[in-house]
Amino acid sequence: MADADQNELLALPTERAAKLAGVSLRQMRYWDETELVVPSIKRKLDSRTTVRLYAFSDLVELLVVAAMRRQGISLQYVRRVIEHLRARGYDAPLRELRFAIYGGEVFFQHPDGSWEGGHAPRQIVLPHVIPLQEIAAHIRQAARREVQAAGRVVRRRKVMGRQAVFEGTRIPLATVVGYLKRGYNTDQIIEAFPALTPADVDAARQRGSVA
Amino acid sequence: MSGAIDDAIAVYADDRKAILVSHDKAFAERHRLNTLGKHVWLRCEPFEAPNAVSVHLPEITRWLASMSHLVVEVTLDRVTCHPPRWR
Repeated sequence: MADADQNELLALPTERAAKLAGVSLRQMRYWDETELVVPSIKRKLDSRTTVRLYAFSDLVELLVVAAMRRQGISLQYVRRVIEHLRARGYDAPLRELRFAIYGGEVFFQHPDGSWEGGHAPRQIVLPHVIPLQEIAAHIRQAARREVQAAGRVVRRRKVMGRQAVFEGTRIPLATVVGYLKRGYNTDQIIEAFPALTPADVDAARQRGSVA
Repeated sequence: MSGAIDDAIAVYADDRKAILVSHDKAFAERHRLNTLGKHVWLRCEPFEAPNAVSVHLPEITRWLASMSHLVVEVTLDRVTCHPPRWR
């Protein structure tokens, strides 16, 4: 699948988005409430449950803000920069522009290549630019199943009625055991469930006592 | 979204105008109480699903086109539409 298509489909719940950005859930909630970084999919299901999903573009914004915070830029300063850029006609400046941090100052690059911000924009050097391509690759990687999850079976609250599923998926162990009992081999099972690995099928074989 | 909780999957599917298809009884029963988006519940063994869907496909698609929020229960023998309780 092309990166652009993958980006279009991608969404992460708050917990995974927070882990990806290296920020706390409390910070995520605060940034949402104060409209600094807002999940584009947000639905209140009942008085206790609100589902928040961060689409790819939200995640780019989140990681740019997190990168600025890590480099000591205050939230107040970030907001001022965003307000300034919105006033200049950018609807979503955090993902439309390149940013750089140098000497505690935020700089941004307009589409024509010119840099603005800080007190001495000419001091900009590449190592200080927040690398958007790396951020995008990092997000795509985070959306994949973690390698160490292979072969692990878990039960999770609110996932498939707490059935045993392979970690990082919603594929029930019982389903794969059923395939094995019907004589499917590892390759056929992985073809049917591309998220699984041979280690998962081995785990199903052991747990299901299937030869 | 592959490891996400049931509610997140339902919200994501509805946001993308996608139809959620699953064998999960607990999920389907909960969504019958609080329906969000379009959900096809294949109430059969995974191996029976292709047969069940192909036999009933016209009826399934007719129900799916008729409402924005519903659960369509599919067994080998029949199709049952569950409209939202709040409708």
